[in-house]
Amino acid sequence: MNKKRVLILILMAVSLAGLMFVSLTLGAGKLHLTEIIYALTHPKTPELAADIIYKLRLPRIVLAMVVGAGLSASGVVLQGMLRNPLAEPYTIGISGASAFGVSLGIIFGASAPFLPIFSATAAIITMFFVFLIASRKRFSPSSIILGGVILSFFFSACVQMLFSLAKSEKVHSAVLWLMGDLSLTDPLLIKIVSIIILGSTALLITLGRDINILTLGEEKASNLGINIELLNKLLFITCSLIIGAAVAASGIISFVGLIVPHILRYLGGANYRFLIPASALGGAIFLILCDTLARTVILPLELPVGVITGIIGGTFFLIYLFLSKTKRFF
Amino acid sequence: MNLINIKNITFGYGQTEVLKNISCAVSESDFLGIIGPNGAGKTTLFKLISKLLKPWQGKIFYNNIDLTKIPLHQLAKTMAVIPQILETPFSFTVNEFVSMGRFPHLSRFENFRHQDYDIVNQSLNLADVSRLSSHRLTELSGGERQRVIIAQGLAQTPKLLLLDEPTAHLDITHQVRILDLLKRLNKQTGLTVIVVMHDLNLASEYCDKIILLKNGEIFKSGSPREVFSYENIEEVYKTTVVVKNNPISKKPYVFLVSEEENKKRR
Repeated sequence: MNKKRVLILILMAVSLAGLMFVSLTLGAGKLHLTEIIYALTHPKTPELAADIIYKLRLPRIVLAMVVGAGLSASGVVLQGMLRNPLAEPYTIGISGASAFGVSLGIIFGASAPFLPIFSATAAIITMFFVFLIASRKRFSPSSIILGGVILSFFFSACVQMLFSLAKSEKVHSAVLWLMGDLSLTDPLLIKIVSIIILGSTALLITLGRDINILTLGEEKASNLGINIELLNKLLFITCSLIIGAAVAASGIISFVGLIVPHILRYLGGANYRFLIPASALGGAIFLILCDTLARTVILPLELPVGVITGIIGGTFFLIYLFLSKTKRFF
Repeated sequence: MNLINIKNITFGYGQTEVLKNISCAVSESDFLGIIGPNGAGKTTLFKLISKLLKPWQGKIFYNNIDLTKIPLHQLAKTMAVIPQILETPFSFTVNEFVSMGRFPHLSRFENFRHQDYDIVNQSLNLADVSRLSSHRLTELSGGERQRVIIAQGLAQTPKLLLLDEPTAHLDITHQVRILDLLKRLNKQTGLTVIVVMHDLNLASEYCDKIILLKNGEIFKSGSPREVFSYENIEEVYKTTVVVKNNPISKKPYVFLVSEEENKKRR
């Protein structure tokens, strides 16, 4: 890894830490800086400030960090696996599938910590189909994105069907969650999701060199000694776990896995040994930024963070479509 | 010594047989060309030798070891394969791309050692692409790209280099540069080269041995002089040709005869 890339990674890590602190100071309840520092250094203090920080802001920031990192890292890996720069959990329909899994869980009354099981299962099954179709169509970019759009429509219809059949008190919170919402405060679920996502992302980071080779196509990768079938399986199960966990905790947050890797590829090149850790850091930064915006921009109301990433991502996608002159795009 | 020994292999896709009972051997330091019309089975034979496909019947021996017994990552240490189409959807730099050739030699958590950097630099030099090393792959011309892809193969430090139509879609400058490079490597380092080719005259000029395939069978194999007779070529390609010698190299050269000229002379 060259010096420029190491520098980018260090800068990102520092900005992430700084951003987390700044984000702690912002929000509906006005807290003074000294109160925050006091609460942070004295976790057991019974003051209101400590409650706001430990029960409201910190869990939310941590969740934003974890979900952002996971979505972005799995996005960049999916792009390499499918050899498609537009692939990410949302655009290929896996987020939608996970949302359906979670909705099923909610309807059947599963308690929060078990929801990742539902969503990850749905993600793995769908990922398998996406991959099967993609390899039959020789991984043409348009077929993958088209398939993703179809899957998203399909699962969104399924979710709506479930909710229209369900009792109304369950529906309101579920609809908010579906739009991409980080305000979840079930501490056990946050812990489970964090462990799944951070562990899986760490595994992906160790596979950077193999993914580099995989982007050259299955034939060449096989000639260079990669066990394609094993690697593909490992990657799609790992990515499904990440996406499933992220969706179970925070619903459908679109485009994080598209925007962040594109910017980083532009800055630091295509090497996955750099791209995966950088995307994880970048995704964390991006989602904390978006969520801070979401919970402060129209005080005292809050927006679901998915609305913010959707608007930014949609705009980004559109600009990309206009500027991209290469035929490779669709 | 035989580096590759192919014994009675038969292979097909679905129900259709594509290769029928093929046997041949490739010695160390050979420069072998595989030629034949479209659909004769050239690329299929290529994929069988590179272990991308498994023969229905028969065996392939590499270094006297049954190919099915050699794990892919082991094979990649001594056999470099340059497929016809190589996707590169992401813009790696030339240096990064060529460095990937060291992949089979590194264990999972091992970083590049001095010798790996040296081998990558050597490969860049041999393929004459060092000056491009910080360029991105997407910025290169077709000929440069092809040489970079070969450099990646060389970084594997192979004993055998397999190439599927490496000069397709290139102008004569780049065709000759690439084949000269392969010839130089073959002569200087004893690298064994197997190359699938469409252009008969390039094959005649550069290869020491030729295998001519027709409908999944070996129609003729031997030196260019033995294979490139007008009888053989007319029979396999169903086209009227005249074979003369290249005035400089004295190698056989295949001239085409158009329908119009053919009628005039009858």
